[in-house]
Amino acid sequence: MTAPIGALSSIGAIGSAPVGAAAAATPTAAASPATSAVAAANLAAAQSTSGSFGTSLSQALQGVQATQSNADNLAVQAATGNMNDVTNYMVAAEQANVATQLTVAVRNNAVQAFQQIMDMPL
Amino acid sequence: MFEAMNTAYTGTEATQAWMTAISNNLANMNDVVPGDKAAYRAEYVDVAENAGTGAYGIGTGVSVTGVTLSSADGTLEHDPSSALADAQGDVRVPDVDMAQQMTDLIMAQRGYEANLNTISDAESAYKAALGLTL
Repeated sequence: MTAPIGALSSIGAIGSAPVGAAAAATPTAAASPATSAVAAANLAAAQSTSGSFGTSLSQALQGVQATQSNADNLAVQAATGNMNDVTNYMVAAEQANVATQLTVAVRNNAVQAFQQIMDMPL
Repeated sequence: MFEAMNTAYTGTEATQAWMTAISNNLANMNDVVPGDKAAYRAEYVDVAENAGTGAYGIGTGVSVTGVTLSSADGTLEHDPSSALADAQGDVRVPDVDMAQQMTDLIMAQRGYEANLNTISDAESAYKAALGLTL
């Protein structure tokens, strides 16, 4: 049962290393990808709290939420013409898309496993 | 999880800075100044590998560390008929080699596209993992 929790913890580390992290400060500030040291620290923190399934799931969703909000901030910058780097927004949007799809796939597998257990005849 | 994409993104940043420097050099390569002033100095972008390593000790990409300027002497030409000529009739033109700049522009463009290919191939690989149905 620890394998799905480990997978969820690694999803929770996605949002800690998005392209253009902390882009909410100023619209014209050039966002840079998070350093690998920060990503490794966040991944270790996410995996250390492998307690209940609920906390792992909430951390995973927070990570995906961080990726999505980063992509939204960059979309606003692109729409208002403040963006200097088109590649930044495209890579952030792709990462948000992949992270969301991964979360949905894990949720589907978890729900399917739960239903298989519930269908076991007594 | 996205180490390959983030590393390739730093590569696109560096090549974009290179292209910006090349366009600045090409835009300013005909700046004529009097002989006693400094000529336009061509810009060269300095890049270095990022400090620190990611998983398995693999590096984390490239970053622009600064801009190196070429010599301020340029080429001293004797042109008394120019409106900008100084007392001796000399003007300075920048020593920007257009052939070298255009070759660098091709290299910067190919480098940018290569990094974009890395990003798209990494995304395809990650999405292929999503196709695994248990």
